[in-house]
Amino acid sequence: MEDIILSAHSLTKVYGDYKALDNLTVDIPRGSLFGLLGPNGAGKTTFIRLINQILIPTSGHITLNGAHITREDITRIGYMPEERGLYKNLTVMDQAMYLARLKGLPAQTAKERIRKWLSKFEIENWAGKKIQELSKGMAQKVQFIINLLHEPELMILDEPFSGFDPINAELIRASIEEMCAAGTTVIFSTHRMESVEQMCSHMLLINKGRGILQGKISDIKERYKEGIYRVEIDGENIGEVEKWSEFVSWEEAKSTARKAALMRIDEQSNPNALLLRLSAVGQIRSFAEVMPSINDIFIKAVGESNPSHNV
Amino acid sequence: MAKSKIGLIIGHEYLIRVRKKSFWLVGILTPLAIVAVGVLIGFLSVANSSEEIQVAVYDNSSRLSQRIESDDNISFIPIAASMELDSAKAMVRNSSVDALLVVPSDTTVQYAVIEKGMTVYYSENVPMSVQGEITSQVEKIIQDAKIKNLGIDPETLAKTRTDVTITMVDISDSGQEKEESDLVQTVKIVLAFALCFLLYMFMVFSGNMVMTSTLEEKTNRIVEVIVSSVRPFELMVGKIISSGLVAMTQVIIWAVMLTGLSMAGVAGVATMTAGDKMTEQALAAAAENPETAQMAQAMAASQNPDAVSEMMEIITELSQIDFLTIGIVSLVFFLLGYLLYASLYAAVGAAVDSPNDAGQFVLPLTIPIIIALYCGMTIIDNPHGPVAFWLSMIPFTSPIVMMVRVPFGVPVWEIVLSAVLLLLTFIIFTWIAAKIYRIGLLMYGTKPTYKDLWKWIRQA
Repeated sequence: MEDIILSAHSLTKVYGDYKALDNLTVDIPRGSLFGLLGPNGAGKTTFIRLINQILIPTSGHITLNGAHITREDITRIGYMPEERGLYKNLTVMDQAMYLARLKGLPAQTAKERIRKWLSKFEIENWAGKKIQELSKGMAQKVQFIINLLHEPELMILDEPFSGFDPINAELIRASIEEMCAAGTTVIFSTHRMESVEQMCSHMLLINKGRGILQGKISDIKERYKEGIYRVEIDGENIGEVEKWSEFVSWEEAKSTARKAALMRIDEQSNPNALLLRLSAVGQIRSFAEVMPSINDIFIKAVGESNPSHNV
Repeated sequence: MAKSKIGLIIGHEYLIRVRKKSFWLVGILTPLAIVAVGVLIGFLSVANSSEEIQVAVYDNSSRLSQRIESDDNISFIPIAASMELDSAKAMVRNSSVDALLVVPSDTTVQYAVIEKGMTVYYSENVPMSVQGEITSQVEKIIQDAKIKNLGIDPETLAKTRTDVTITMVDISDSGQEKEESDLVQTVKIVLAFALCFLLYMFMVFSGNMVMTSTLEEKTNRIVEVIVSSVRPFELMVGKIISSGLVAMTQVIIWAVMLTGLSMAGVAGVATMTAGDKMTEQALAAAAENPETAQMAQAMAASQNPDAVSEMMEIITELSQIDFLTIGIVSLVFFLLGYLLYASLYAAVGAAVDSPNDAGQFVLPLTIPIIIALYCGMTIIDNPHGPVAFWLSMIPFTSPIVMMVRVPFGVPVWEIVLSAVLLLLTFIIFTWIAAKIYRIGLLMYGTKPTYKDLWKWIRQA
């Protein structure tokens, strides 16, 4: 059995007559980089606020390390909300100290860790600066650091890359992966499918308050693959493949002038047979199974979970 | 743990405010400004009155012009009866006099024409007090004349003057008869006003402080990080307590400053007056013999036994006031009143997005405070009347009104009833405020209506 750090059990949150979260059950494995994925308004932030106990569930409950989550657990959780904010006229050091101590860190430890992280991000000389003197990107860096200070077991990042330039986004990404490698579980909430694709090991797809798909990303992809192979092939007669039953479409390769054919075979069929037939038509430059993108999976999964709904 | 977090919030919020330059500017400049304005007003009124007003008196029958008396402020100059009224008026226009008093001809014993027919002509630069001064002088003159005409001897009249003093003896609750001197009454009135104003200041200023700091964290968007570390209720309590402490610090600074300034003022005046005499004496003494100088000092020191016994008398009189009870009762009402209003202000700060939107919710909070303050001022004449009683029972006005009533002694049952009502209201409204606070903190975008607030209260 997998080691689960956090579970939601039939979690429901209702505002008036609006169901923000509808009977969500999910397990988040320890040490995973867990993508919480869904369009805007799907209920991601509500779920996160329930974990942080900012909101109280209408029904259902959350367990952390197998036990009902309590107020004391918030010191084990780090949270960077989507709406970033800091005290504008306080120095970096002062607010980092205050927020770290609110998370239960002793003053001395807090100070040491702030210095450590500021120097790691090469921004030691910002310690005495007020937030209003920093740019938006700089302030975001500070905010990111502040959430790490108490070394949480579980780190929740809501759209962590929004507002960062590519260089800093890379720095943040490296830090997240490093954190994860060191054993921290990271919940990474976003509506941008591609970032989950790149980074996450597990994910939960959520739409209109309902969890529609969850698990290891590799398993999910395996489940949703359609036996499509992408073939780059050169030769005089390659037009012939269009007549084959396996042929789906041509795809214009973006980087090269070469065309690629998309071919579909049954799950039981052996791709080697297709490869052999293709090799008779022309010279094969590449032959690879096309794994469905998270975006495709999302569209499909939403369609399945709600057949009447046309996505 | 919760406790230490509230402590952290209190410490943080307190330090942020107290470290601000504006806090010290307000702390130091306000008393200076009060003193400066006081001095300025004093100076201006002296400067204003020092100029003598010249009033020409045009009185053909000469019944008043002979008897009207000049003083430091106004000098009356009779003018010849032969002069034309127009040329007398011209004197005002060309500024050879400041004003012209025209007394109509009237030789009757009733003085009826004079009483209603006098006119003062002026062009500019005549204080309105001239009218009052002339009126009172003329009234006195005519009154004296009438008394004489009626054949009443002024001395006999003087004998009819009566001066009544009534001793107020309080024989209520404590059952102890005590006579109240004017001093005790005054101290009680001062105490009542001071407590009442202090609470008003705490409610309005600290309440607003709680509101703005809540609003600031909300618009900064930092609040979501904070409430993921502490309970919203802890945050609210922390803010309320720290704002109260900030106000208390401000009041202490003012008290110290004002005491310092007034002592400096007294000392300054004392050295100025004493200095003149002392130097003369000292010079004379030193000229004769250094020992005499020492003797003079000893004499000056022993001059004070009168002052000491006077002080003792004041202290015994003041000890009639039950400061302990006043202190305890007013502390209870002060704390409950402040906490009630501060939590409501906190709820407003959490509910809205911008200071502009706060207005509509702040108004219903301000109205009872203003009513309480205004009524508190008026009931001081009769601190136990029906208005005083009812306002000190209604929880939203009771804290301020009780501040006024307490120094004059309030029956125990009234205090207990009022305190219980206030406590219940405090509990209910803090509970409501905490709900609004918790939900409002994370609500952005739309300006909530009262209906929304009601929904939040029911939902949470």
